[in-house]
Amino acid sequence: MSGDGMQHHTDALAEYAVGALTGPELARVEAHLPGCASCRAALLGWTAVAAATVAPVAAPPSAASLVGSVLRRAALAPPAVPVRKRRLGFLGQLLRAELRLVSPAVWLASLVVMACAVAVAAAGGDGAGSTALSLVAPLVAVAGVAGVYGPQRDPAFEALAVTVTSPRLVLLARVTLVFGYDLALAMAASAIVRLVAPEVGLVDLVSAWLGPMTLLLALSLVLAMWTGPTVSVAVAAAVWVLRVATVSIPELAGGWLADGMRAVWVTSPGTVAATLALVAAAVVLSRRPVRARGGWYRPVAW
Amino acid sequence: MPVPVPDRLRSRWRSRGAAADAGGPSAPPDDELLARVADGDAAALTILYQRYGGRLFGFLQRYAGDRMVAEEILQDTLLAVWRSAHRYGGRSGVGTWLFGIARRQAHNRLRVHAPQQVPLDSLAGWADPAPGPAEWAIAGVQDAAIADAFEALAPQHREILALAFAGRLPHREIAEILGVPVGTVKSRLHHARAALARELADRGYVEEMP
Repeated sequence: MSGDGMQHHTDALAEYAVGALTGPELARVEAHLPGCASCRAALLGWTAVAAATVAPVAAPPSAASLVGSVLRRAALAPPAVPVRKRRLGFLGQLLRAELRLVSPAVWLASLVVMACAVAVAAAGGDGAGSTALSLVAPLVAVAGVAGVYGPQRDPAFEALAVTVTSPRLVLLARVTLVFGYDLALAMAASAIVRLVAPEVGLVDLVSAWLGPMTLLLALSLVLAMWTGPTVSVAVAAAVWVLRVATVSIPELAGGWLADGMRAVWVTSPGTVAATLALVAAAVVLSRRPVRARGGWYRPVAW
Repeated sequence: MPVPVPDRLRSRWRSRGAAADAGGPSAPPDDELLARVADGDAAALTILYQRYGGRLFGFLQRYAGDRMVAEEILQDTLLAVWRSAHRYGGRSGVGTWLFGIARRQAHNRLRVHAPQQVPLDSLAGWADPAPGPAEWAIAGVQDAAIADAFEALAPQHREILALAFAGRLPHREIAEILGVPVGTVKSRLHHARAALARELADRGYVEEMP
């Protein structure tokens, strides 16, 4: 076809037909076309398509009316909020709502038990402070969590059972609230013990209870997400009874059980890692579908 | 020898140039207008619409196949431009950016998922860009018949033809909008034209397909 060595421009003809070609390429095509019957024929096809489709079927809306509508819509409908932001806002809302539903008795009981621990620590003197706090703080946290869930304790249980918010997510929200409160309580208790009995440093006091408290809570959280709050509280309480027994019963204090307990219930990189792993597992479990009122459903909000 | 582009098409080329002058002889460049839109200047949005509205609407109408739907998508597009003008990064031309937004809004409204990246384009030897007699036969068909057959095309064929013809975009810009190489744009165009020729033949507008 191009015996004279001419370069065809088949690829550019569609652009040429609508006038989208510019510059040197346009010049090349215009120089080529008069001498090339093949490209002219091909162009005819593109030109026919262009002629049929290049013009709108109807005239576009006037600029004034369209821009007016756009500005009205922009003013009336707020731009879509990114999902992440909406989710954070939702969690904040949930925490505020749950704060109102947690019974005052939970806050009060935690406070009273912690005050007792402080009294014991102050009376016991040397070394008693960290032991007392390390035994009491985790139990207070778990008992507080036990106090926030279940039909008997939840004034909104009936309403909750028919909403789309997962019961597990509600439990997570309440645990967050109670844990935050207990953390603050235990911190305050440590500060008071430090003032009353200055022989133990504040860091030692806090590390005596912080690791055990978060680990026990994470353990009970996973169990709550997995099997429900009743089993969770029972297991956590049983574990803690053993822990207290190995400390307070002299016959047990030297055995393998006591050694194991001492290794596990401390603040160490290992326990922190275990706590984080358990919390992650709890979050994953909290996203499972829930069986409620005879049917499975997947909560939409989480 | 006369070059076979009808005068009515040539006059439209000129009208495109005239539209680009909207706003007077000292018309501000597109990116400056978009910067003003980002600052909340509605007049700049109006000028931008005067420049591109006709081609955008033409593209949307051919793509959506319905005037009312096209108007809705055009409004969605302009709203998106109004809200996200500050996100224009200057990596592509303003026109390309606008068509990209219009295409996304059309997909949203039409619930069309981006055409699957079927590897047909990449199959060596399958895509033959040389037009056969059937494609050339399009030249002899009435505009109305072509427009009729166009509406029956698959969405991905309508999309590429609408961008190239109603949008009057160079292939380089279409490639940017679709996120594919220029060569793919060209081969898709040829496939779309072949599909159009088949559609015309099916409707009896074109003599026997070979």
